[in-house]
Amino acid sequence: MAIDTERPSTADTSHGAKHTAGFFEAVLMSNPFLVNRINDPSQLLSDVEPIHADEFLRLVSLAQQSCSLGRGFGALLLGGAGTGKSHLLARLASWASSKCGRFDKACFVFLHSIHASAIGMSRYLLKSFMSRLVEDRLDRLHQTMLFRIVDAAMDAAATAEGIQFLNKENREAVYKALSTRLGGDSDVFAVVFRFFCSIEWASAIPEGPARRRHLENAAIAIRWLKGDLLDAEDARRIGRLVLPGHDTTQLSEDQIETVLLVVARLARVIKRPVILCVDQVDNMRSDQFTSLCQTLQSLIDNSTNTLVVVSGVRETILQRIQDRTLPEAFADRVDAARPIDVRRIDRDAGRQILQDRLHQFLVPFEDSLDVKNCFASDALFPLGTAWFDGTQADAVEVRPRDVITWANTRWCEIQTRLKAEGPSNWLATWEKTSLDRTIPRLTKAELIAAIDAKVAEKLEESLNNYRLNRSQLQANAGDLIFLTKSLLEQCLNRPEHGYTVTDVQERGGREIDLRVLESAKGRSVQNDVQFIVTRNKASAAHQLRKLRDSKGADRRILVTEEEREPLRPLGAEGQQRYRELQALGNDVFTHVCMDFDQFAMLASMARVIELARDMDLEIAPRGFPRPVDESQVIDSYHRQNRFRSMPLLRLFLTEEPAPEMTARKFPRAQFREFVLQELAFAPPKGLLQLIAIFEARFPNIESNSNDCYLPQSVVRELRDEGRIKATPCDNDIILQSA
Amino acid sequence: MRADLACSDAVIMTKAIALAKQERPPKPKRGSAIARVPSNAFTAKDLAVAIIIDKSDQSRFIEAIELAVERRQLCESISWLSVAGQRVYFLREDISASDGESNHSPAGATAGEAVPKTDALHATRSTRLPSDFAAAFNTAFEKANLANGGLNFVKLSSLRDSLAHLSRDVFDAGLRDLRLRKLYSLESSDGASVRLTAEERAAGIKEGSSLFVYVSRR
Repeated sequence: MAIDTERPSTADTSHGAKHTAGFFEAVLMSNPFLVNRINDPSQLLSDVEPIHADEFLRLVSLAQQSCSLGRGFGALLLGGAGTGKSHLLARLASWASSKCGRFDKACFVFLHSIHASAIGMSRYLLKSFMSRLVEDRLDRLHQTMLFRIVDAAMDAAATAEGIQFLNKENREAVYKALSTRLGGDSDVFAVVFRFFCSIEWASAIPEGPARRRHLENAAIAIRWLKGDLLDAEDARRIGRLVLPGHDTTQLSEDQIETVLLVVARLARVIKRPVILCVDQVDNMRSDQFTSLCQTLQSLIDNSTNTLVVVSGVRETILQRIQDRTLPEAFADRVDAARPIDVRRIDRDAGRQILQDRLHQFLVPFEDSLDVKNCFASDALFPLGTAWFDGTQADAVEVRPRDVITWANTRWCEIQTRLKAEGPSNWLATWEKTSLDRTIPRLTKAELIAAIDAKVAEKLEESLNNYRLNRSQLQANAGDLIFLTKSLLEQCLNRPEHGYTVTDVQERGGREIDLRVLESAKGRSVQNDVQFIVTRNKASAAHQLRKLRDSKGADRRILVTEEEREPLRPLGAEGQQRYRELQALGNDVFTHVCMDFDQFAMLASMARVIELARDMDLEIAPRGFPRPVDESQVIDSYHRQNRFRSMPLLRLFLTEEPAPEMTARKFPRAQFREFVLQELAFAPPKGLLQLIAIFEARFPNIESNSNDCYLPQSVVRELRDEGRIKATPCDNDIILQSA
Repeated sequence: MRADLACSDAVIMTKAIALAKQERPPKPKRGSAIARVPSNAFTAKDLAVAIIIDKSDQSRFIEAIELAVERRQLCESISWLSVAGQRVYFLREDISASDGESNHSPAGATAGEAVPKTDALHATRSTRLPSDFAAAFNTAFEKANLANGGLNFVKLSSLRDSLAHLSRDVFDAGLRDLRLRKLYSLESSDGASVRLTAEERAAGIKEGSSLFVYVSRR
């Protein structure tokens, strides 16, 4: 504990009294135990290293061995819900991102919520992998992991060639020596090198058309490496050719794995392993899961420095081993006979988790004599050791999530008492606990209200998570089709809600992507839906043609993701097809232009269902966790009208017009400065709290100007700059100074 | 001093603890479980260092103590408890001397044969366990595990069936003891992939809001 309880203090000075007041304010306004699960490995705010230390060391050792022995390894990470699997992976991510010399200790890629079909699994995996390596930050390509790997590998290769400094004269020769040494697909190497050179050239010249063109070339190279279709013009810009008789070019199936292997080999030049973690695989359908295993198996077999970690709920994964959905060969690769078990912890370890979070919370108030005295008498102040020892005292093994949930409930109790009694009275009797230790029985109405509230919080949490980590949600037609179909399927055969949808069919191939049948105003309506999420002009034109020519359609619906992969500019043919569709009239043709938030909300709805399926969604009346299952989440969506509130889904669910939606925005510069000031030398605060303070302090703020942004966007910007840490939690984002 | 002494020899163990008290009183560490362990409890290594000079003999002494514990041959005047996964040894007479403090034993401290008072341990104490419970449980577990493909994830119901001659109280208390000694761990069902029967649920152990239905060896 950093709080120095030995330091002599004779009386609480005005300085100390100020800190005491600040402590009470912080207790009332924040709660260090709100976050009880990790959605993203970068969100490791608190960590007790001795917990699951052996399991962590085994993972690190496997990663290091994969690099030193020059072979791929697999590991199976198993545990019950809430035991700390994702936390362990976050610790691994933190280790990987720590520096060893100039570079991170490992190249770490984390994937979860895989929505790909079994057939498209390898392409999906490649796209996800590359998205993480470039973090969808095309404005700052030189900071991306991919660039840093290539840059470091080129430096190492130059050194090996006796070259002290890389420059435009020797770069080509070094690249050739490097690609010859590493072997593999020369086409892939060439595009990786083009990506690297484009960024180097761009950084050497001032802002202007030439610089922009270099950066565009780098972005095109990324698109090709992700497996996207490129038309002839774009292909030419990165040295690729379109075959005669074809409009487009794309990575071949054989080259998909090669891209992953080339990146891994480049990392090996600088003696770094690649760690690919796939979390929550137990959520996948059997065919998806088997396909994922086959793709990962090949990667393990062919890689020279990759550790693949597959993580999931023990009961489900072991069931899949028994029913052979997890192929025997893959079970061998991940050493399924000796999985890495993340087990429940003993109570003392639970106590340490609480102490760690309390430590972070109390440090800003170490000059308060009251805080220091209370802490000296009880290391769990203000929760209290007596409270902890009395909470579920019979439990031998506990889940870390449970311990945090207990503390969260206790903290709320403290807040209530502090408000009612005032600081002085509370301080005199703070150790008292009125915690009711009987498991509460909720009425049906209370249960429904608690589930609805929890679902709403988790949807907002997931949305904020996607907003902060856009690369976790690929701009991908496959994902959109999957999400639309799976969510609409939850509305079938639910006459009590008055939905008009009667059937959802995924088509694909030469046909449109999705056919949705409705029964509206007493007649059957056939909606044919095409999703276009590509910048490729030829591909867009082809898909528009499919939609135009779709037979028997009463309505033709085009869906595009306009924020990251806008439909325009279309080529000449695409423009013609689009005009033809528009000429059909508004009743027959509808263009749904989705922004990122709409896409992220669809993904969040699916995500919260997955959390429930994974037993990761719980309500905790009086600190007693109680799981919310998949059907309860879906029922909550229906009750709360969430399906109808999504503009895309609404088209197939009702004839009523959509309500107007407005989002709260703030002046960017002013809100940035305000957030940084509020977080400086202070415990973590929630974004909602900061918004409330900001609105109270600046009541007449103008929010319609061009410089006004969503507060979440400003938070993402500050997080990307490394100035704050941001952790989505329920309907809030917990922020703290970096 | 011979290192391969019989650790059932009360004189030698008592001497070792007495020397350890003089030479290496454990430093309390604020906020950790260790801080609350009485200063008259020592690890096998502490005892070895206190009583034996030669390092290689110290290792043999430690092994001898561990073996005596495994075989339940530790002398009667000595007891041990497990703190943070490590056994610490003490004189039984020291427990009664500090009985008042033992109510504040850390919940993470787990018990050997003689234990300080804690709520968590009363169940184990009040139920008399057959001396061969651990061995019987191990055998039943191994058998069930083999039948289950060696996945180290066995349903409690099948273990109860195998040990049907034991009452539920004895089984639960015995398993609790094995868990406290970190030999076994329990897990609940997520309900998504495996549908449990009513019997399998009934065979579960309820702790707080968890219903444990699986056992695995640590």
